[in-house]
Amino acid sequence: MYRYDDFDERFVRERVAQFRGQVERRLSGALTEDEFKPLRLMNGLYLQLHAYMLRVAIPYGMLSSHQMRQLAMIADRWDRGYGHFTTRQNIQYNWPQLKDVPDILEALADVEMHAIQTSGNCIRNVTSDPFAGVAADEIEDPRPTAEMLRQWSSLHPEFSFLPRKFKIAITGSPNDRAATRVHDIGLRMVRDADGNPGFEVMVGGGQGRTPMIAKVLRDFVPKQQLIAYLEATMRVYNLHGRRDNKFKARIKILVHELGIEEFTRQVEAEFAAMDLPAVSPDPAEWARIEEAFTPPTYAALPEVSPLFVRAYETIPEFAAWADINLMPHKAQGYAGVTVSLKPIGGIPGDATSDQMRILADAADRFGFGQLRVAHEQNIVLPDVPVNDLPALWRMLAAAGLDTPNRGLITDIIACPGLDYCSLATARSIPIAQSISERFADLKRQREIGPLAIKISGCINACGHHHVGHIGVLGLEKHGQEYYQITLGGTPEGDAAVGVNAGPGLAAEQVPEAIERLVDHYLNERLDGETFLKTYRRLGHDAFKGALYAAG
Amino acid sequence: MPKISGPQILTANHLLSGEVVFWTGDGWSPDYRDAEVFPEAAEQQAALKMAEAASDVVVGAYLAGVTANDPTPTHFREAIRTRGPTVRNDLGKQAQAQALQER
Repeated sequence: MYRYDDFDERFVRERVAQFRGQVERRLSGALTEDEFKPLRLMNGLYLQLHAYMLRVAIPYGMLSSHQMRQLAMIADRWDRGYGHFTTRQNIQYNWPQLKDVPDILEALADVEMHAIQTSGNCIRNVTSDPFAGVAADEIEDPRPTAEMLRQWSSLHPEFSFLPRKFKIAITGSPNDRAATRVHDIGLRMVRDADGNPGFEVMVGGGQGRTPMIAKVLRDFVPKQQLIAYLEATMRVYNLHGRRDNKFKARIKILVHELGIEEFTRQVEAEFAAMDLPAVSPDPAEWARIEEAFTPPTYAALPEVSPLFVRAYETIPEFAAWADINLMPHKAQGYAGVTVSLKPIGGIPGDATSDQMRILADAADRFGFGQLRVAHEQNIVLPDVPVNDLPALWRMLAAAGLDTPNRGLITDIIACPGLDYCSLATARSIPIAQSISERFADLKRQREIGPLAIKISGCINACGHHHVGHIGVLGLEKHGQEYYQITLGGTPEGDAAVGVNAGPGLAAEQVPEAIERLVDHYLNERLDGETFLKTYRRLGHDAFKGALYAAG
Repeated sequence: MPKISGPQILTANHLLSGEVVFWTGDGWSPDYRDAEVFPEAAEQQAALKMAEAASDVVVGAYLAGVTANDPTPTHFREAIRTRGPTVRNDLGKQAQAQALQER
């Protein structure tokens, strides 16, 4: 795992000291709120519905056990004993007091973390595949490039005041687990004809009020040229992106208005004019970063673990969890484990400080001290020996962290919604809870198979509703919450934006409506067909009819 | 944000703690039941200006609609704000109220 060098350490510490001074000046009256607000936002501090909220960056979703324990300590000491893991692989604290935030930032700096660029019109935390570096289907580990992007984008003077916020996602696998096609820039690792690794660069994806699937800007950029190519892309955006209307300021609007051909032409012209050696990272720095992601020393383990087989055959709950929450690992005898933060009826993405400490302990005991945050708001232990899975499962089960539902109908993404968020127009968490409770029966969940429900409490789409197989968007009409259903979205390889099914529903109607969609799917599906495949085969109207039938 | 019409109360967040507070007529209270109701637009705007000038105490001040002589907010967003997250009764103002009841 990457460790801060002197430069990283210095700039993070300097920023903490700077913010401490800014808070002092705000409290003394030397800074007005208008002056202070952009400064606190640059440090991830929002004012939400009930209190301040601090959003902490977790670069490409990667955490050490040591960092996770510190997050738990912060939750206990300065917040209310829990944190919320987000769709951008960050963690949010919902109750910090302004006077404590400099101390919280200092505690984060102690474990090489910060909240810089988790807000504002800058390049935000780079997100990635939670199984990066361990997935069996991966071309190459994308994390060194992700770390390079973090360094390049942190406090980048040219890109600190962009027309609007900017989100980059990167994956090293052909199977997209990082939602790259719905980011401002999506990077997908590919090889050229000679087998050299590089990236397909996609641009102009995004959700929010104008959802768009990213378009291919360049089908191959050599890894060593990526920073320069992105620099050229950002320059075109920074120059021509609209600053007169925040709803039209994202790069997707620019790409849409110019057309991908013209946008590409401008980027290529900018790129061609660059002094590549001057802009590209020093090869020695590349090597230093790559070394930080050297895989752990895996033991030579047998393909089959008798301990695992025995537990699998004798403990049905363990078998179910193993069937659903494990991921093939590139090293024989190891597995990637998803720890679901979606207990039935729970709040998606929330973890108590005790749970965080148990996850940290589990990572130390079974997984080289490594954890990841998945954009689906779950935690991943990337490197667990198969032999240890029964013991890990028992440890997780004792902490309520053993829900076997990865990718199933109760593995719901939901933004905080109007229970916390000042921008929200409706609540999302109670909708997630009611759907989760309705489909609690694991046998039925498994019968239904992969089905992604994603819920946002406003058009900003933090809950990714546009790319849910079933999306739920909370809105307000005449002083009442109501919910629009979208169908057929997916962030994966064949990415698509869901289509609005029609009139909105009252909150209490949503679980029943989803039940009708599921019933329709189960009645109509062909052998082995997922919900999304059946939807695509039968078409939108068939499901729309089911959604509103006898509603 | 709901449109401003009819009687209003003035609400904000406490600068230091972030807690939701309500203008009582001579100070800020964490309890909406203490809030002063402003029936007329002119008083409402004056109250808002006063809050903006008090930015060393509160931030993000705005008006929230109520019914006449009753400081209970009419909009569900504002109602949530007077209590806390509807999915965590142990958090926010409702938690304090519950703790008092249990004593």
